[in-house]
Amino acid sequence: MKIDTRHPVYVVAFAAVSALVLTGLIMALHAAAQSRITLNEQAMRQGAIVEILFVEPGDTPWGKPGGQLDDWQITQLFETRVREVTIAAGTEHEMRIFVAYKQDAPKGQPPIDDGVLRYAVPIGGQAFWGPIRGYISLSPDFTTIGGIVFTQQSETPGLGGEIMRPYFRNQFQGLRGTMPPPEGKYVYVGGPSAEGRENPRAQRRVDAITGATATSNAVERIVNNSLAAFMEAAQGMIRPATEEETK
Amino acid sequence: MTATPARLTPLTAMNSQIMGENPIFRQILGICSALAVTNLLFNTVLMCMGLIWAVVMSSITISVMRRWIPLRVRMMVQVLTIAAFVIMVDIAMRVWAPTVHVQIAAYVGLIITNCIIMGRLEAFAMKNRPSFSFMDGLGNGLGYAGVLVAVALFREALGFGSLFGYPLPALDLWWRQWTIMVVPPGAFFVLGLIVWAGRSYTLSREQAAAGAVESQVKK
Repeated sequence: MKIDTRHPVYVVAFAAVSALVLTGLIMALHAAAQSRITLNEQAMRQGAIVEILFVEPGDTPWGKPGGQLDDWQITQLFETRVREVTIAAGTEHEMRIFVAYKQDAPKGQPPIDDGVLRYAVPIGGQAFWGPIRGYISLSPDFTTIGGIVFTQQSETPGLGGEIMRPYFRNQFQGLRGTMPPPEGKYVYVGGPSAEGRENPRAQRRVDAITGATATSNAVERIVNNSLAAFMEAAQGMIRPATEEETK
Repeated sequence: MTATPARLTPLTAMNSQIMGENPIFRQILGICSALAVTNLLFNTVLMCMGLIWAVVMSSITISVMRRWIPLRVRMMVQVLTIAAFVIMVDIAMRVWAPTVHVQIAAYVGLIITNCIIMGRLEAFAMKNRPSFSFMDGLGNGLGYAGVLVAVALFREALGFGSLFGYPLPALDLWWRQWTIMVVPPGAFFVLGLIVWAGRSYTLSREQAAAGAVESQVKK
C-alpha cells in the first residue's frame, strides 16, 4: 500500500507521533538518570562546601584538607560534622547557611556555639554571561575568610571561567572577614595593591583575572553583597569582631 | 572540461566531507562554535565528540525515516531528532562527567543549532540510504573536529602556554600571553589562516585532477 505523505491528516499525525516518540524517549532517559544526576549534584555541592569549611589538614579526621578528600570521606564528614541552619528566621534577612563543627555535630538543627569550626555562607548574583552561585566560609568570630567556591557559573571558558580554578580562589583564604570601615568593602578584586595595615584594602585584596574585568568586578560585587547580607542576618547570632579588635 | 564526479560509495561520502567539502573551510558552516569553544583543547574535543554523535545518529535516523517524512514538516522532524540526540549527550555528561558538564553545559545545548547537522540532514540524509548517511555524517563530524582541534592547538598554546591544561616546556624563555587568542576574536585570525591553507590545498588537488583528466581525453 502506498502512503500519501502529502495528505493533511498524515502530515499532522506524523508530526504529532514523531514529537511524542522523541520527547517520550528523552523523558524516559531523563527519568532513568534522574537519581544518579541528583546524587552527582548533591556530591558536588557537598564536596564544594566541605572544601571551604575544612581548610586545614587538622580540621578533618584524616589529616587532609577538605579539598583532598575522596567521595566517601566527604559524605562521612558532611553527615557527621556539618549541619544546615536557618538564621534570622522569620525576618527579611532569613538565610540558610552551613555550619561545620569541630566534633560530631548535634542532630537536627543545632545551636551555634563554641564548637563551631567555620560557617559557609551562600553567595550569588548576576555576572557577565549569567548567574554565579557558590559559598564563602568564615571563621566562628567572622574575622577571617576560610575559602570560596563556585558551584554555578557560565563565564567565558579560559577567561571569566578561571574563577573556578584554585589559583584564583586560594587568594581568598585568610582575608579579613570583619565589617569594613564606612565606604569600604569586605573584599577588593583587582585595583591597586594595599600597603600598610591602615590601608582599607589591607588583607582584603585579591588579584583580578586578566581579560575578565567584568567577571572580576561581578565576583567583587557578589561577595560583598552576600557578606553584607549575612552580617545583617547574623546579628544576634554572634557579635562580630570589630575592625579594632582584629588589628 | 571538469573532472567527472566519482561514483558515490559510503567511503567517498565520508572522505569528501573531511577534505574536499569540509564543513568549516569549504562550506563555512559551524563557525559560531569554532569561535566560541576553541580557546581550550579539552572543551574543544568534548564539543567535537558531542557533534559527531549528534550528526551521525541524526543522519541515520532521518535516513531510515526519509520515505515516510512529509516534506511540509521535515524540518520540524529534523530539529526534533537533532535535539533528542543532543539532550542525550547532555544527560550522559550529567551522569558520567558532572564536573565537566558544569564547565561546558552552555555549549552542549548549542550543538542543536549547529548548521552543519541540519545541513547534512536536509542535503544528504533525506535522499540517501542509512549506510551512506552514516558515513557522510561521520565525515562531516571528523572534518569539523579536525579544523576545531587545529584552531584550539594554536589558541591554547598562544593564549595560555599549555595544551590540554599541561604547561608547554620552557615557558619562561619564549612565551608571552596573546590575550587575543583567549577571546573569540582571536579565532577569526587562526580560522582565517586555516581556511586559506585548506582551500589552497583542495584547489590545487582539484586542478591537478582536472589536468590529469584533460590529458587522458587528449590521448
